[in-house]
Amino acid sequence: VDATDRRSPKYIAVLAVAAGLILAAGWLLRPGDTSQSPPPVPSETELQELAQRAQRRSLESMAAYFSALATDVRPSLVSIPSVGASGIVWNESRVITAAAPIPDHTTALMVRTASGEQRAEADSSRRLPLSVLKVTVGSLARVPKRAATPPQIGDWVVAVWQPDRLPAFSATNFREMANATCGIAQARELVVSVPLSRGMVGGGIFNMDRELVAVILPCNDRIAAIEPSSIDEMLARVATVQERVLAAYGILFSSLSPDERRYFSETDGLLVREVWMGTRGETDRVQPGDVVVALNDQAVASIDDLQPLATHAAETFEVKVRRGSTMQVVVLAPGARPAASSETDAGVGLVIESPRPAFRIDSVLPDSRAARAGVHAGDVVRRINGVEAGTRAQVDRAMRSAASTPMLLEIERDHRRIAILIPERAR
Amino acid sequence: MNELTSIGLILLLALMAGHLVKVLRIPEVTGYILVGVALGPSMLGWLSQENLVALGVLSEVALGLILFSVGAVFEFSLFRRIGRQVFLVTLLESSAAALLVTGGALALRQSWPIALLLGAIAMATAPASTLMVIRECDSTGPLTDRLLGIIAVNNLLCMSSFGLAAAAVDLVTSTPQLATTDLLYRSVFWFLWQLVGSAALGYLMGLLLAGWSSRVLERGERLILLAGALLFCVGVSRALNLSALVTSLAVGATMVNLSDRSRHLFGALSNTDPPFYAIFFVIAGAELDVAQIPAMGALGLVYMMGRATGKFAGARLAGWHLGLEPQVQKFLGFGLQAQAGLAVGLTLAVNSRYPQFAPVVSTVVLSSVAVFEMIGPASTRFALGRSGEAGVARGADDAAVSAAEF
Repeated sequence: VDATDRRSPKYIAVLAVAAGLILAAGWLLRPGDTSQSPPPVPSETELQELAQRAQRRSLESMAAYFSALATDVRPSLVSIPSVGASGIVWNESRVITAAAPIPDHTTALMVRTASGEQRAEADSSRRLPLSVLKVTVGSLARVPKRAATPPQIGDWVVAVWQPDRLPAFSATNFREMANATCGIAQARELVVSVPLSRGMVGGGIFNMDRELVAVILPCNDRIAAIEPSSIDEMLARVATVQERVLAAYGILFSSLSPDERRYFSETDGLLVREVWMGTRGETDRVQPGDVVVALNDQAVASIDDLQPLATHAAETFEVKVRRGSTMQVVVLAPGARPAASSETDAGVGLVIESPRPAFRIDSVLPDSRAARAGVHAGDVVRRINGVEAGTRAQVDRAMRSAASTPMLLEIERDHRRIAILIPERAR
Repeated sequence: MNELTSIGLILLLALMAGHLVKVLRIPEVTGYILVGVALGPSMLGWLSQENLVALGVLSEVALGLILFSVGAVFEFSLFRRIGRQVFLVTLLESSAAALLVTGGALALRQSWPIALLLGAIAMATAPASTLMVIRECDSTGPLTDRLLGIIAVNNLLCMSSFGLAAAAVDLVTSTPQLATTDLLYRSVFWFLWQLVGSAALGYLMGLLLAGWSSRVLERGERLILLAGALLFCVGVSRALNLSALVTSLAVGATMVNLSDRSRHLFGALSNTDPPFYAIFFVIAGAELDVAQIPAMGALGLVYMMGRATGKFAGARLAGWHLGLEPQVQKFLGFGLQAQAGLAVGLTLAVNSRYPQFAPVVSTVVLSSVAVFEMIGPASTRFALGRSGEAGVARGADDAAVSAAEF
């Protein structure tokens, strides 16, 4: 084939037709898509392996889900490092935890919240399974949302607790509701499919909507998950005694803290913490700083023992108190009137108070012993260690001796007389 | 990074690297490839896998342009003069490489399908980088002509051998689900279709181009015609499962034989295509998995040694047998070392067709391609420079160096 030949139209046309035919034939004869051939059948072991892998993945994602849920509800929990227990935030200033690890009487504790450490006062009741911690300064992080209805049988719930820095959780299933007796109270209990241990005490059980469905508390000899509404009822029982006595007599009783027990040399008994001025309590000559040891010859150990005062306000009670180093009996009688401590001008109807020396606290050093005990600037000092603050010299002497020893102050604030113990310097 | 940013960056950095490597007397192509390696996912990661896929179109166009130019080597009078030699040299160098690689792999107790597939892949010599080095050096002469012819024939031969090897592997490893005849038909059909079908399409496109180009006189219009025809050609090959490589080669071969104006067309092309080539080589570099190199193992070393030795010895033997010029005999083997796109493409085919052999084959081929693609252009340039064919215009310093060294 020479140059002229390969440029000849005939030659080119033949080649072009051949090329076209090749393309057309090839396109028509091309084999079908290989993917139409049957895919290889996986073996039994391969299938099992696949299934196991899928199960493992779903379990891992479940665990991750529960872990995220536990992290979400953590701001509703506090830990109480000194006793290694958890607590549930109940409202802006109160935390619920178990009674057992908390010292039996009012005591100052640190609670660790999501935002930091806060000082709290504990008030526990021997007859109930729980303690209430009241945060003295500031408010708590987040109050858990309560579930409106209990979970359905078989629902997933997650127990979350935080005895120390590390939170812990355990996912479980709701089984049934049961009735339980906790101390003196009847309560509704949530039964779940894992056993609850002592370490979980004070923790909460949450449903998948991150709502609180139960608080884990010791119930007689075992650990139970108690419904929030039952806890409300228990709290109401504790609160009413103290608050109803306050309403009826103007006297605020509370349990003794360890410092106070040492100071008064009393292991049991209740402290008259406040006497409200112009009430029956003041008339009956009860003084702040009195330690009530018996009521009508019945020994008094906790707020619950004052139940008769709250329920039978119309009766007369003999209250045995330790005042300073002496024992005295004070009679709480119905119908007493405020004492006529002032002269009365019958003509006009005014009661005029005589002038009294007053020692007003000008300022309190922040974070000093006095500030931590609750003394405020503006408080008026009435008594120091049971002795009237009469002269400047007396006050100065007392202050100097208080540098090393504990001091019981009675101050006046907002028409209340309040006993405040400034404890010894911590060693 | 979006596509325009990466294209811009590729071009600028490629230019910079091209200048830098010139100082080291390394071909620009190597600079482009090194830029690609640096930017690519295996090192800096500025070019992501998605970028590479998006830019793959440009890369295909560039390959089309390159093979179109290579196709010019099939010009009738030239090919009649050197065709027989070219065929013989190609056959010898490719077979020697394939035999050494297959034998080495068998000696290392690899299964024979792996050995056979590796041998077929080892035959490939990269047309793009070789052509680019020839252009960069403005090289002309007997070595250059034969090199061009060899790389054109080599790729056809390599594809044929791979097709035959694949058919053999198919036959022996066939699963009972598919009838043997059906399987044989499949493997033989695709191998023939990619060669003959692609050539047919290329011929028809070349015919169109040649007929039309005689009516287009303006240089700009010629470019439009060429670009349109090549893009269309690559696109149709893709749609019909043809080999864009063979198609473009066939377009070039048809053009050069049917139209006296083809020289103008090729001239117009070489004035406008450098950006495409820069992108092509940067992408080729980015796709090199340099992290694989340490993983090649003994088999990889045997593959590289076998291929390099086979190509040297085969070319030398053929040259001696044919009584070629001494400088051709001496340096032809150096010009045949580059390996790139075709080898990678065949590895991908192994991946999809024989997943059971894929791990070994891809590790060996991809790691050795990373080495050959970086060394190959420099080796080609060395061959052209030493043989004295590198042009005076751009290769003046090379000529001076060669003169001084001899």
